[in-house]
Amino acid sequence: MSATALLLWMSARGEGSWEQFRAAVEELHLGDSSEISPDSSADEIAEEAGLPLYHLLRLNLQRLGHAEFNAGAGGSDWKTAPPCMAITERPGGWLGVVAGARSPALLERLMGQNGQGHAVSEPCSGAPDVIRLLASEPAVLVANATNAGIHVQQDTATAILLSLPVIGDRSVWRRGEIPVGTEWRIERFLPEALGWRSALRTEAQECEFGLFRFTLRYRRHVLLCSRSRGAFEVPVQVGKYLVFRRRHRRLWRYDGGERRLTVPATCRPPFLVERALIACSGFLPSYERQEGISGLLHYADVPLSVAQLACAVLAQELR
Amino acid sequence: MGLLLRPAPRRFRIGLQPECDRVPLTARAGKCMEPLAVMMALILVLAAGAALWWIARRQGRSSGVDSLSDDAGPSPGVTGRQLAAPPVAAEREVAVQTSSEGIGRPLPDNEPANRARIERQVHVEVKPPADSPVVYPPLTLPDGSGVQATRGSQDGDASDVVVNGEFPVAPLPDSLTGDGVAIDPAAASMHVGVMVTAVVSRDGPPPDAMGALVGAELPEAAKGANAEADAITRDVEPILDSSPSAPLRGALENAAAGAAPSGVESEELASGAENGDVRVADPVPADDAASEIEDPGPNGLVVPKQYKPPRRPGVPKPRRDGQGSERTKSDPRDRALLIDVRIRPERGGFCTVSLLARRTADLPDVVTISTGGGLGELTALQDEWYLDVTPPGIGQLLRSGIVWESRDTPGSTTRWSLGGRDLYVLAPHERMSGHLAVARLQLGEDHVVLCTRERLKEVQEAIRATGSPEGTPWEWTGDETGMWLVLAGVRPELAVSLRGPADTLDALCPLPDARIALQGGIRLGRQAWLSGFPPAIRIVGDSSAIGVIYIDQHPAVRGAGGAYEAPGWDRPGEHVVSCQAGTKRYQIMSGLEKWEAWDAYTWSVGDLSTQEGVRPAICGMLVRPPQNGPRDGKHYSGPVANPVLLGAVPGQVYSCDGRSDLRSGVCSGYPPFEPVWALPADPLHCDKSTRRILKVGSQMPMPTDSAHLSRRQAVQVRAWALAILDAARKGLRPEPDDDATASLWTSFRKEARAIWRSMR
Repeated sequence: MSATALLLWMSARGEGSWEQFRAAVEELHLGDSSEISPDSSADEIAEEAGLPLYHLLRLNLQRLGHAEFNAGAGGSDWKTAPPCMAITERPGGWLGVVAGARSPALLERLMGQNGQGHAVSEPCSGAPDVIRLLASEPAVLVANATNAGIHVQQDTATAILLSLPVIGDRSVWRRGEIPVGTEWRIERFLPEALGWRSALRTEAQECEFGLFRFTLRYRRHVLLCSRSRGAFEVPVQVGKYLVFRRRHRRLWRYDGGERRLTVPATCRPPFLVERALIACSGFLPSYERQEGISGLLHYADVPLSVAQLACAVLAQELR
Repeated sequence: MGLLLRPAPRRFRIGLQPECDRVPLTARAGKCMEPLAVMMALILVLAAGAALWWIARRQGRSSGVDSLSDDAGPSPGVTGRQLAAPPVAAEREVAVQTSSEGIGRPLPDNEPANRARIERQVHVEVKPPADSPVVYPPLTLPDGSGVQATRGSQDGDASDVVVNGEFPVAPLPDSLTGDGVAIDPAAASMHVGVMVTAVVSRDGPPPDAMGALVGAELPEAAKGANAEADAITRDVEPILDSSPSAPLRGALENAAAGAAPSGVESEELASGAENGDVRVADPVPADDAASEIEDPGPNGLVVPKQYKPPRRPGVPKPRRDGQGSERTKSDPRDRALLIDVRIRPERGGFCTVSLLARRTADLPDVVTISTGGGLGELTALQDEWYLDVTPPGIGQLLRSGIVWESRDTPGSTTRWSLGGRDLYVLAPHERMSGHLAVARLQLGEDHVVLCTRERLKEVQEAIRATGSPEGTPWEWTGDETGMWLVLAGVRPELAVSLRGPADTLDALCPLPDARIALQGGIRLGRQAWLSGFPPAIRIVGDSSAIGVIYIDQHPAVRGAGGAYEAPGWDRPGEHVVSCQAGTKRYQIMSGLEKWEAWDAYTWSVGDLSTQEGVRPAICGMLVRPPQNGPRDGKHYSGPVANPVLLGAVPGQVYSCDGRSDLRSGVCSGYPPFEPVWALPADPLHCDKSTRRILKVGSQMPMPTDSAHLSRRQAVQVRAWALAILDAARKGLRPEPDDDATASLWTSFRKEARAIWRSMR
């Protein structure tokens, strides 16, 4: 079975617990599937991070906007998002990407439509099949979505990015405390090396500004520590970009000819930013392995305006 | 055939301190026993040891202690399960009688009567096979004593029916014949489990004997169905079942290792057991947890024991039939659970081997375990298993066996165990990906065999004998010992008779049994599949003798993929598959078709939401307007230089917000109408050489009757008209620069002018 089956299962259930999700990943034998493992760039990324398969699938479902997990899941551990056609302008036309819940009946309605804007399902490694529609006018896509009974989101990438705070917005920082106890493993993120190295507690307490990771078995805290302002709990990717901002490190590259945005794999954008970038093509980023250093993630079909907006959210500048 | 221990009348008294109440007797023995009681306990131990010795002898082994809990080899279609200790009363007398009677013998009339305040219940559990229809078997004791299992309750659905009845056994039937469970030859593979347990309580009526054997007659309805006796268990005395303290266990061992106790006519026992109907045996012959935890050593540590294969060809209870939950009738304070072995393929012919600890509903999500090498943690994978672990030295552990312990729950010990062995057979599992260890090969199934190098030759010969390819080697780089070999793609085609007692190669001997399997599809519930993704209906095992397969009473035919189909088999509704191998039910149903949007992330970078109500929210790819604004608004984004939006209806004016923090040159908003034009915020004072009127829609203006407007509406209409007229007065040009746009703009100007005049 493929991850498409997992999304169908999730859609049929609507929402559920983390245990149910993991059980479904096992029962659908996704780990045995050749659609996920061989030559999967996404899988390689997961292997780098040492993530188990269900985490990889969870992250991909989340990035693609099919489902929300944990804090965003409305009280459940996971919840499928309503089906939605994410419309983005591209050279020579418009692209509609179908995200969110899907059912056999919905797929039948979507795929059964003839004429302009015919839906095409394409496999995506480590994620459900991508359903895309191409049309010369957005009205065609809107009509298709309306006929199928799903939501429409115009200018999806821009809409998402404009709904996000910039990473420096203090209103989204949560004050935290450095964990007490000697058993915690402490690491500091080094923006030059794009990696973590061991650190001492005093370093976290006295540093001017730094990102620290505290790990004890399955518990992990990522804290942005500042001698003057205290410690703040931030999502790890947000924390990294805050450190880059302070160091004025420019990591993002944009190829205008290919409309391709390239980011170091260790500096993956926060998932809502990534969701916006993925909405431009419907596909997860491709991974390029690099010898000895962090690999690269390539986001395809990203308009310059979207790339700039994403950069602005993350306090980056395009190269 | 039933096993009956009729203990010789030995009597002792055990006095327990009040705080010892409901604590396993054996665990407290040294602390709480009075001297006399200790003596009596030793007598009891000797008696128990005699029983153990007999069982051991019966099983052809020298170790009496092991034989009690180990797999004694189920009879065809019959397996048994050892129950753990029932609660122990605070103070009691226990009469333990060692039997001089064999299986099939009635109790002699002169047996002593009750000597303890023991309330006894006979617990009868009948577990039909997964594929049988709901049955409600009347159970009768064959002795005609009047004990009848007519009460019961159904638990589960058609594929997992457990009928439980609890029946007082006072008086305990004298004649419990050796044919404890009457197995109809035609129903020889039915799951029938009969468990007998003694429940000891403070105020219960005195029993008349400790041992009991209960037979269960298969119901007529079940005859002819695929039947397997699943468990026949007896619980003679709590002490025998409890995890004994070292001194008691030592006494047990000594007793077991000694000469046959008087009164035990082992020949008779043996002859009775030869009939092979019922015996004390492990219901999960392969590696039942209880059988794999060896006795505490001198230092009190529990060490794993070596795996001992089943001696008799019972139909193995398939643990991957979705009913894999541990049936723990034991004292919850001391649980034994299994560790499963899993192999998963990786790219390039590699694989990983990991260990999966079983989980029950009452165990926490995270437990700390003590292993031989220190402490570790198990984290829940799902309801029935903890996450895979690959401990250091896994290669050696697979060979020697594993025992983990957790005391996370106060007053309770949970043990997980895996019997060490040099050969593992693994098969696909319906609930787990990869291959999981099973008791033996099954015909027609794809298996992986994990064996030591030293046994490779024998293993290959055994595999060849099944008509299977020898298997493709997989590389397991995690084996630090280098002793293990993994052979994938083993698919036996021929049944092979078992080799002999305690031969681990029996695992490579597939039996000629068959069962209905519902594989694949997208399962929504226990027996319900999503419409459009039904299960594949297959016969696993030897399908040559199962006759016609029916689906909803229609003869089924085998499709291209080997699955059986019949008209309407995959339509929504209830379906029944039946054949001589049994019956299975399944349901095809639709899932949700409507999904509501919600504010998943409001002003958040993927963490907790903030500023809810005033900010737009994200849900999947959908961006929802702020709760405080018009909820029917749709997202609009455009250049920050043109933030004023006008709709086709006069009065439709909306001003977008810019994001000064982003410096992106983009503004956005959620106008409650379809915008047609985007204008500069102040048309009269903008630079007309650079600013434009942007066309963002195509609707024609809709005339309005300004005479019937409310005051507020009039203000809106006036603002709409004024914005158009100001832009026109400034001489801003509409964009795109084409005739259609110009024409549309002209019509809007006309409408605005008309409104302005009418409102002056």
